Amino acid sequence: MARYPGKTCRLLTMLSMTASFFLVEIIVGYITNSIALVADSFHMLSDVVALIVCFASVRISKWQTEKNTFGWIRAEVMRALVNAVFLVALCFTILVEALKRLVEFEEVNNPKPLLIVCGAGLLVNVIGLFLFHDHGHSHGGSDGHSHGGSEGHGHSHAGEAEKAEHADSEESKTLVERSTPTETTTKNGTVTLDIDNPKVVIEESRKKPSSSSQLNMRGMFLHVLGHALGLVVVIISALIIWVCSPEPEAKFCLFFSIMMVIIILGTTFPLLKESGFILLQAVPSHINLDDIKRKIEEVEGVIAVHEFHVWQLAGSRIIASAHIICKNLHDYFTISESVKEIFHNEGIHSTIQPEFVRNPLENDVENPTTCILECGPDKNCYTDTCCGQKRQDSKKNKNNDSPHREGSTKGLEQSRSETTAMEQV
Amino acid sequence: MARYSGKTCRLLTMLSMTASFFLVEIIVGYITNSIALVADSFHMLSDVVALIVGFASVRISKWQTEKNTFGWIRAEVLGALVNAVFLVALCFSILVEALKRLVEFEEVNNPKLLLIVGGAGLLVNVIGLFLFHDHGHSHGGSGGHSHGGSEGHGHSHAGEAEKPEHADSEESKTLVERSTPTEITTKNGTVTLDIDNPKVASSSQLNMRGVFLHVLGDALGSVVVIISALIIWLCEGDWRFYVDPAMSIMMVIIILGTTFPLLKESGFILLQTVPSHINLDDIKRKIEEVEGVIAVHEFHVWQLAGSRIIASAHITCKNLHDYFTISESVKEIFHNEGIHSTSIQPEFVQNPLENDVENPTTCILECGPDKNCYTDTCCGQKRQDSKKNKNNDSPHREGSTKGLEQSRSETTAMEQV
Repeated sequence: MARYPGKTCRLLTMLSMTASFFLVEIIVGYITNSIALVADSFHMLSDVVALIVCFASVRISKWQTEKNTFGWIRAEVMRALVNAVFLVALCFTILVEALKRLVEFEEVNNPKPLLIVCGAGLLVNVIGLFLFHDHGHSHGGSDGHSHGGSEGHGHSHAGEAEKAEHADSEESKTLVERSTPTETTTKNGTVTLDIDNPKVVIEESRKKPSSSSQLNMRGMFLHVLGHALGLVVVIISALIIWVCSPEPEAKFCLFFSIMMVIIILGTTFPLLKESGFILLQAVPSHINLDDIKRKIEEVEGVIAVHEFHVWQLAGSRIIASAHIICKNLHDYFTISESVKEIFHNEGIHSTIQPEFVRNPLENDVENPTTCILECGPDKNCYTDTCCGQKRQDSKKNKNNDSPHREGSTKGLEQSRSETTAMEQV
Repeated sequence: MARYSGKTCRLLTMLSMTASFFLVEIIVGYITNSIALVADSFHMLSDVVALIVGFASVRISKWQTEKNTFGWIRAEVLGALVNAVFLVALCFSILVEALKRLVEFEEVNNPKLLLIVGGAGLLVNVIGLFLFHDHGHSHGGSGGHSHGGSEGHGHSHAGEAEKPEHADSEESKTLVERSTPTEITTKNGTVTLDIDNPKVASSSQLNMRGVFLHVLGDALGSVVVIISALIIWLCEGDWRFYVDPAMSIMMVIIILGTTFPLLKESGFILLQTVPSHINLDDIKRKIEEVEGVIAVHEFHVWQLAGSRIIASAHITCKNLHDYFTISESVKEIFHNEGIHSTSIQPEFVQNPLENDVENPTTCILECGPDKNCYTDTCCGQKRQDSKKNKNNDSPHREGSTKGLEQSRSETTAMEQV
């Protein structure tokens, strides 16, 4: 069946390879008393854990979607973070081991099997790199519609088989390996185009391809970096073993271990930072929030914007929500289309809540953060809103200048009565 | 001032105690050439790292920022996760070391020294346990709005002085110490009745739990050191040297068992899952039952951190008049579930039978079928399915646009009147 060459299969392959290699490395490492090998085995362990998390997320997504309205795509980001933290802990352990050697020197026995094991470790990491690097591209190139390299199916919408594949390709989107629509046709043999206007897909260029492809490049870089890290660690381990035997100097070993720690930390830090920011709901760095807000406010009919949030779910999925104050329904129709367009061009998918204010001067235009549809001043829940503190500030202002609040309710009721009046006509 | 009895103070206290103890241990270890001491000192160092992560999370969560529209409030949840993962990694290294010693035991030369240092370490850790365990309960019963035991302020909205206190009490909200609407909180001087109280783990409690587990792990480690040192000192025979690794393995199992729930909880929050106390289907049903609601789609609920739960939904209804009533009812429904940050996007469909009521997932305000961005939407997959339906029954799509245009032309007509 089509799904065997898929993500699950690659994951399992990689998982079993890495896990068995980890066992080998750690046993040999301890028998021969080599820090480097033990260190590399930890790195393998972090890979194993990351792969397990990945595998689990693929599995979970199939049966627990009620638990997560966004699906489990974010598991990829978590995986990156967990990986990074493990590597930092690994560095810690290396340092500890190296410092221990200063106290009591421990000979490295039998260097030869060490070098063999190191060589094998290098091989495993390179295989991993190719397995997932290719995998990332194949899914990227097909825009998530084809799967693996050998299926020649057209993109038919019918059939359970396709569904499963879509599920797989869906989850397999790594931190960012999706190409832009313009690259759809060229990366893979089994490219299947979307039925909806394939030509439009090819010809249409997004107004801002840079944001999406930037994310792609960044994500791909980090993904490759993660694997390259493994290579670096193994190479350095081999070097340490070479240097540390047959007549190892504890201080030399220490020096190399520290170098290794610095290199690992240096390459892990960007990964940690990137995944950390995504999980913290930060605005993606390529998005200029003020710029977008300004564009929205410039749309004819928009009086004010508040509760404006932009965050990255994972990869190229950016989500926004905003409350837009406008005069009436007619305005809302035009505004909503323009605003959606603005967001779309930034690569953002949004939810817009309109708020209608009949007389902007009388109402909240001076205090655009007052939400007409908020829980209400007599309910004590403002600290439980996403903005917490800020809302309290605006409430403070409201209490000091009560006309604002009345004004907004008045505005709401005015709009309401006018609509009723209109309908009665 | 009230805030000095808070988290920051406890963290700093523990940090300084642990850091100095680490220095003492490592110096003594090097002087006496004892690997065991050096190793134990690094356990202390790992505690220091955990405390730094905890402290940094608390500080960062208070920062003002333009890089994050939600503020950095989630930092404490992330801090909890990082600490949990770090702890798992450490447990693993302890496990490996213990297994190695089971295979080939290592002789310990000066058990008395180990005993003394182990005892001191245990003392430091027990103090830490009290510091962080108590924190979990001291702010309880106050509905999360009062702070410490001595403020007599009522919960007023005015005044700058209240601000930092609210900031602190915000952080001090603990797991289950928010009462239900019917219970008036009486435990503390400053009683504030919180109207809506879902039982949610606050982000600060998660963070402190992470720190607590590290300290607990270290405390157990010290216990193991003391017991094995006693046995080595007072007994004879090679079997003595297997006690430490065997007990270490048991300790690892205990710590992993206690860490896993923290890992799961913080992980789920960061993964944008629906908070466990919220019944999504139930809420959706309630919304759909509101008069005038034709359909609900793009319904998302997630937890930012602590009790800050956020929801967004697209609600299909007939006209603006309906929307006004619906939006208030829907807001009320969300409020009663403890969801206070919502964005409701109305979509107007004039003739529900003709349009999308059979396919409520079709969003009227989506990017459009000719733009290839549905895989970039939050739902990705689902949108594609609904596109599939749309393509198969094209009248639906036309119908919905027609509905939109009808509404538009009607409004224009009305306005011209």
